[in-house]
Order: sequence, then structure tokens, then C-alpha cells
Amino acid sequence: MNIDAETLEGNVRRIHLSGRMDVQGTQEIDLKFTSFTANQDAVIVDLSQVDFLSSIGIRTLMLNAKAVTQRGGKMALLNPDPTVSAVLEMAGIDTLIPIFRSEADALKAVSP
Amino acid sequence: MFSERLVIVNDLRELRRMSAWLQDACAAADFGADLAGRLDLCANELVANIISYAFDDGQRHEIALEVTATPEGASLTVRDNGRPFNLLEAPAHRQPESIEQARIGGLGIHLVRQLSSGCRYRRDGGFNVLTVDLAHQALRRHA
Repeated sequence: MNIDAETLEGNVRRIHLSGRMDVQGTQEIDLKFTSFTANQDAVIVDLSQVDFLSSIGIRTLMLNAKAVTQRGGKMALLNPDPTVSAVLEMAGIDTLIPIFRSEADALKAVSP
Repeated sequence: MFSERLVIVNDLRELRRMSAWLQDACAAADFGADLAGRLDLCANELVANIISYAFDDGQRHEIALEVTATPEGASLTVRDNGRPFNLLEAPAHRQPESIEQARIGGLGIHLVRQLSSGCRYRRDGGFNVLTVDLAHQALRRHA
């Protein structure tokens, strides 16, 4: 998997993931993901280039969302493809971490 | 009837080889992308669980997979000689109310239950034999 991050207006951290978020893929990005969300109060995770998501990947998304939320911040997911979206719904994640189709909506939701 | 088998060992690095095999098998069986994707996810969850939790002797173990075409779609059978584990007896997933309250982990079995239309388990000698059925039509039920 690949991961990169940029800082948008209002100090919002936008993390971009791509590839297969299975055991191997998640292990490849896990530490970087945590370092990218550390000390961030507003995080958007762009999932548009993730083509497979299993429970280990969901675990990483949840751990980071929980850490951000416990600091009083907000994390949102952006644009999962239909397959990944179905997995997030099946796992009940859509009710725990907000999912947005447009970056503008995601920005509005996580901005302080 | 279409059927393909693969044997892997208890090493998480085997999961990618398993997925590649499954992708080829699903293409050969003409299952379509949706069913193939759900089979891939089921196989990843079941086998990652087995590799992570079924063995405590540090030894090499084989895990056998078989994918079969059925009138309704496909079935996936996984056979391992790890400690007895009946997925059907695992407690149901409880949806947390918020991310702060969420217990992290344990979603793999929940996903398999959501993805499949049926599940059968038997302990056969020293082996766990689990078969999950998946329908052509995606299920959208919530347990």
C-alpha cells in the first residue's frame, strides 16, 4: 500500500491511501498512518484508491479515529469505492466514522 | 461442477498468494466481480484468523482451501488442524454507539457472517472444516 498526507486550509490533515488494505497492505502503512494523525484535530482519510478492505484495515481506521476523537478532534472518510463502502457499512463503521462523497463536505465536517 | 483447491501454510504472507489463486479460480468459474470480491474477503478473514489464533506450537501447518460453484453462487471450504474453533458459536457482534465506546477488533467473523448466506462447521478428526456459502446476489442484512 501507499500512503501520503498533506495539510489543507484550516490545518486539516488529508491522508491519501491507495492499494489493498489487507493484512500485508495495512502492515505497510500502519505506523505512518498513526504518525500522520498524531496531534491532529482534523483528519480526512481519502479511500478512493483503496480497492480492498478487510477487518485489519478497519481496525487501523478505527484506532486512529478513536485517538483523534478522544483528543476532541474529528476524523472523516472520503470517497470509498462501492466495494469498500459496502464493507464499511457491513462492519457498521459508517455510523462511527462519518463518510463523505465530496471533499468540501468532509472539510466542513472535520473543521473546528 | 467447478472446484479448485489450494494448500497454503500458516504464514500471513501466504494471504496474497491465496487471493491471487482465488482471483484466478473466480475468473475461471465466471463468478463475476461482486461474488469474487466477497469470496476474497471471506477467505482473507477466515485464514488470517486461523494463522493468527489456531496454532500455538510455532510449527508449520497446512491450511487447505476449496472453492466450488454451487447453484446459488459459490462455497468456500477451509480446513486446518489448529485448535477446535466453531465460528458459528462465536458471540454476535454488538454495534457500539460511538467510536469512543467501540472495542477495536473482532470484526472479521462479523464480516464473514454478513457476507455469507450459510455456514457449516464440523470437527473431523483433528481438523476444523468450515464451509461458507455465498449467493450470487449480495446480501445486505445486519445481524
